[in-house]
Formats: sequence, C-alpha cells, structure tokens
Amino acid sequence: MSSTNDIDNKIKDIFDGIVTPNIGSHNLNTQLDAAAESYYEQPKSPAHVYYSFIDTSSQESFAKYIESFWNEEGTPQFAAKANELSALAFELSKDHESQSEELSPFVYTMY
Amino acid sequence: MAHRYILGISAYYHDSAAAIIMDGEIIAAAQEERFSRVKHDPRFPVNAINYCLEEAFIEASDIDAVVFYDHPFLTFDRITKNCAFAGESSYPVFNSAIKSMMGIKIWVEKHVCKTIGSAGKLGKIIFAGHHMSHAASSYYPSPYNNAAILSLDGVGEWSTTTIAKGDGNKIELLQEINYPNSLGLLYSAFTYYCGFKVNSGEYKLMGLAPYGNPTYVKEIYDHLIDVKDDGSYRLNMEYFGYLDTGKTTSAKFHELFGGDPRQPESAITRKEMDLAASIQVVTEEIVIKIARHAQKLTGSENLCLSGGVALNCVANGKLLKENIFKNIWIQPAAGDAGGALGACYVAEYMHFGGTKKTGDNKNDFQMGSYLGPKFSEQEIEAYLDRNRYPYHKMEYTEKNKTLAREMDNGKIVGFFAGRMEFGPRSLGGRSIIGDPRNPGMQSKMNLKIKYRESFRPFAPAVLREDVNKYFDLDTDSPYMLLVAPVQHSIRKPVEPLAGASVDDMIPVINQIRSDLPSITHVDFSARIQTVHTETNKAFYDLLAEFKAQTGCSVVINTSFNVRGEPIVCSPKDAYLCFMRTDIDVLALENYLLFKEEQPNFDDKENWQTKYELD
Repeated sequence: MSSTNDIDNKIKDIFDGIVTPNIGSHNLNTQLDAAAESYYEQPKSPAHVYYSFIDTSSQESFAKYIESFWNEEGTPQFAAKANELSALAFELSKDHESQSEELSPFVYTMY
Repeated sequence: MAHRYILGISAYYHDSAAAIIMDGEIIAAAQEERFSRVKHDPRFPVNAINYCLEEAFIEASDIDAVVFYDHPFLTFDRITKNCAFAGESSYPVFNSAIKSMMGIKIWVEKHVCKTIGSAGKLGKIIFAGHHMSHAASSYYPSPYNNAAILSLDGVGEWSTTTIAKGDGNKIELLQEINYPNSLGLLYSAFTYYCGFKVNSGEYKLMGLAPYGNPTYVKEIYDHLIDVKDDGSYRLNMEYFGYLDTGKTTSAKFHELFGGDPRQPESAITRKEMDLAASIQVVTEEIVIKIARHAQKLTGSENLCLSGGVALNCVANGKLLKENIFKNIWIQPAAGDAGGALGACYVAEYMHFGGTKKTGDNKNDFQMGSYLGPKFSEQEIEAYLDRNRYPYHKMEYTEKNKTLAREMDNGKIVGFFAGRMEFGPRSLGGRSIIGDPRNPGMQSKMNLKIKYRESFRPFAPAVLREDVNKYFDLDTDSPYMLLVAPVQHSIRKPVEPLAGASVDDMIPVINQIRSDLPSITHVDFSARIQTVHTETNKAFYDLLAEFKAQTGCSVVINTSFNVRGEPIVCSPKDAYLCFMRTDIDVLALENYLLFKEEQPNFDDKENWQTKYELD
C-alpha cells in the first residue's frame, strides 16, 4: 500500500504535467452573452455519451485508452502524462481493494 | 430461445442501486441504502446486486451484460479541464477527483467480479453515458412509442441538461447544456444557503417554498442566471464556488442575499422562506421554457422526464398545467438510483438492438415501481414467533376493516405489503398512513413519528377514480410526482393571522385549510399519489375499505422511516421503526401488531444518533 505523501506527490506531478501547462487553454462556457439567441450546444463526446468501453485490462492498455480518448476529444495536450496517470490508477486501485470487505454481507432475510 | 439478462449498476456518487432486466422487462431494482441501512449509501451496491440476481433466479454466468450508469473517464476529463480553466488554486479539487475517479470509479469491473464472480457473458463492463442512462430510464419504461426526453440534474460527466428524442427503440441526443451551467446546481446552491443538505435537502426547500413570497426572483435573474427564450441558460460563476473550491456558493452569493448561509437546524426565518419561493419560481419558469423548446424540436406530444430536478413535483405539476405536451411520464427513481435501470436499457436497446414493447400511451412498464424485495407470510410469521412479538393473524378483508377503523379512530398505521418501492417515495408498499381529515395528524406525524421539521407537508394517496373529487387533477399520478391544488369545494376559508411573527410558521401550519387539513399545504397544494388496483391491490383495497367506512377515499401516505433513516425494507426494519416511534398499529401483510400489546422495547442502540440528519 502506498503512503499518502507518495500518492500526493504523484498526483501533483500529474497536475503539473497536464493541468498547469494548459491553464487558460480550455474555455468553459462561463461568458454570459446578451446577444446570443441560445446557449444550447450539440452533444459533446458522441463516442462516449451513448455507451462505450474502458480498457483497464493492463497498465499499458489503459494508458493507450487515455491517449486515444483525449485525441478523440481533440485535446491531445492532456494526454502528456497518460502513462503516469495509468500507473497511478493501478496503484490507487490497490488501496481500495478492501472496500467491498467493509460492506455488510448480503442477507436477504429479516433475521 | 435463451433469455437476455442485463444487470445495471449506479454507484459511488449518492444513492447507489442495482437493477436487472430480462428481454427488456424489469425483474428487480433496489437501492443499496435499503439493505445497508445507510441513507443515500454511495458504496458499491453489493447487497442490491445480490438481491437482483436472487429475484431473477440467475447466477453471474447467466448475465449477458453488466452496465455502469456513468462514464468515469469522461467525468475525469471534465474535472481536468475544469482545473485547467480555474487555475492552480483548483489543485485540491483535482487531488480529490483523481483519487475518486482513478482509484475507485474506473474499477467497476473489478468490483463486479469480486462481488459476483464475473462481468457476465460479455466479459467486460459497458459504460453508459450518465444522461443517456437518465433518458433511457424515463423513455423505455414509459407508455409511449415516441417522446421528447428531458434529463435535468446537477451534473453527469459534462452534461447538466439534455434534450433527446425517443423513437421506437432509439434515443437520439439533440441538444444539451454543459457544466458549469446547471439548473440542478443552482437549486442546490439555494438548498445549501438555506441550511439544508445538498443532494437530499432539495425537497425540503421545495416544501418550504409555499410559506414564502418570491421576492428574490429579480435578484436571481439579474445576477445569477441568464435565461434565453428557449430555456437555455448560463450561470454567472462569480456567485458560485464549485469551479475551484468545491463549495457551492461564493462570498458574492452571500453578499447578494445579505449574509452567511443559515446554519443547519437553526430557526428558519422569513428570508429562507422567500428564497425558497423565489428559486422555486425561477426553476418552474426555466423547466417550462425548456419543455416548450423540446416540444418544438421533437414534434412529439409525449414528454419523458428524469434527473434529480424531475423530482421537483411542484414544477412537474406546473408543467402539466401548461399543456405543452399531451402526456407526461416521469421516472419515479428520477435521481442517480434510476440510472441503474436506465443503464440496463441502454445495453438492451442500443448495444443488443432489442425491440421496445409497444406502448398504449397509458400503461407504463415500471410495474408501479414495486421492484424490491417481498416477504412471504411464512417468513413474517417465523420472524414474529422467533422474537415472541404478539400479533393477530387476520383474513385479508378483516385486516382492511380493522386498519380502516383504527385510522378513523385517529391511529397511525405502519403499512408493509408486497414488494418494496424503487425510488425515493413510499407508495403503499412500505408506508406510514393515517387519516387526513384529522387536523392534528400533520403535527403528530412530523414530531412524534418522523421526528422531522414541523413545516414539512404530507402527501395524500387517493383512489384513482376519486382523484378529481378532491384535487384539481384528473390524470394518473401513481408515483407521487405531481402537485395539484385541492378542489375549491373542499377548501375552508382561512383568516389572516393577527399578531403572529412573520418568521413563525407554526400558526400558519396549524390553520385548517380544507376538509383534508393534514395533506393540504399552505398554498392549498398537495403532492398526489393515485392508487391503482392493477399495481397495488393491497393498498387499493385498504383505501376502498376506508372509503366504505368513512366516505373518504384519501389517506396520508408518508415514507416508512424516521428522519435520516432509509425506508424500511424487511419486517425487522419495520418492527424497529414501529417500536421507536408513536406508530400505533403495524400491518405486516395480514399480521397486525398493536403497540399496547408489545413487550417493553429495549432499544440496543441510540437510533436518534445513529441516523445522520438529512
């Protein structure tokens, strides 16, 4: 199990690698526009909003998934740390493996 | 031909749930909280999944596909881009999101395999879009063959509001509004500011609204939101904190409304009542505009609604009155729990290309939303005998006569019959019921049974054929999702209150407004459930008997729980709730238990601290 500091350092590294260099590059629709007739948009991410699959079968395949996801989204700059992000996901998943053990066993009965 | 089974899961946000369908028909659906006894339990729904498999009499290897109701990487994409927009200060938001998305949510398949042994015949999980799951949950079980579909919630991946068109077995997303602009988050901001819990206190804010005047509507439109004629909108993010702090509101929001948020459990003042009334008006106006636009866009005469905002039954009632659509159907589990059911349909119709059953525009495929566990008489009797609880086993007709008589005598009944409801409302499967003609019933039920705020109104359940006799409504409302006024013919004149403080709701609550005072809200409205013999014969027959004895075909129907507790699931849950409160009679199917006959109740836990206040 990884230490909290170790994990936090890796997260900061990913933040510095994909968020910091892109600050200001991505626009969320926060501008009010009195002249606009409508604020509706066409559905984003058509490849994902209906249904799709996420390949987490290995660290490598998940890294590839991340890369192709952000390429498809037209924002390849966010894929700079795909390998590190995938590695972190696999590491974090181990920390949470015991989650279901904390749950009560299923008892479909009133006793 | 082999049947096709699909298991749907929603989890990790709030109100996790599981559902299973067979060849497009619902077999079972339940929220995890009902089994774990943790309100709005967000954990992976181990118990609900196992229940669904047990109800379907299948094993994991029989499941054709397992579907998750949301796309965690698309959500991570949104959070990453949100942080890139908000800047360095958003690092804490990123840190917490990455742990949650990459550490837990992306690993659904692993949790499924650990719980039931495999991810079904497909061998991998299908991730359905969040709003697609919502849209599917309202369109496919509806009685329509085409419809405009509105999904309105806080946020799911990027979307907060979507308009789609359903035609046959296809759903096509047409337009959407994306994060950070969100009608659900706007409503939640007021929920938080008025001192209620976000994600569960919204219905309290809605219940508070009729006590106030909409004096802040102009401020909301002038400062917080820009709404176009077609219902599309954007929020002025200067007033909200969730872009970079994770907080709902900003200092500017507090300044606009004259101070810090109300502290939870502190006294409610005129300000909160007026804010509640104002945001309710704004919400209704926006929902109606969006619906008009959706009708133009799709050309359909049918509307399907889902998403947390669709639980705003006051807005739904106003929408119905506008007659924009000829028919409206609302998914009773409109929030995230219903996403589990929607996810099943996404796989059935979009992945496997199943054929949607032809609707008749009247009878839906939701089975009254009685989709949870049921307990046999043998199981109930064994439980009672084992614990030596005194009971009276009655014939069905005699039981109804007794319960009707008890209610007529002012007694409160815990009613447990058939399958448990799926969704946040008790609909006569697990309900606390009483006589709505009794003027003291609202106060007694709030303070001695539910232990909740006295301002909160109770809902009526009425025989379907009599709904128009009491209420200005003549349509089905089986899921308690429509609000309508009580008929003028049963209203009573209300004198203006002299000398009462403008902040004091109690004298207002205690005023008698109709022949059914306990279910008549201060604005003469009521949140109506129509009861149908086709979907809940036991509840229907009890109401019919109450009518035969009293001439009144309405009862108060509130959820069978105390404040902060999930609705009861099993006879044991029901017995505990019965003994911890002033419920007078417990009906477990045909077994009646009277409070005065029960042994001293030695409560082994302090339940009043066990359940977190909602």
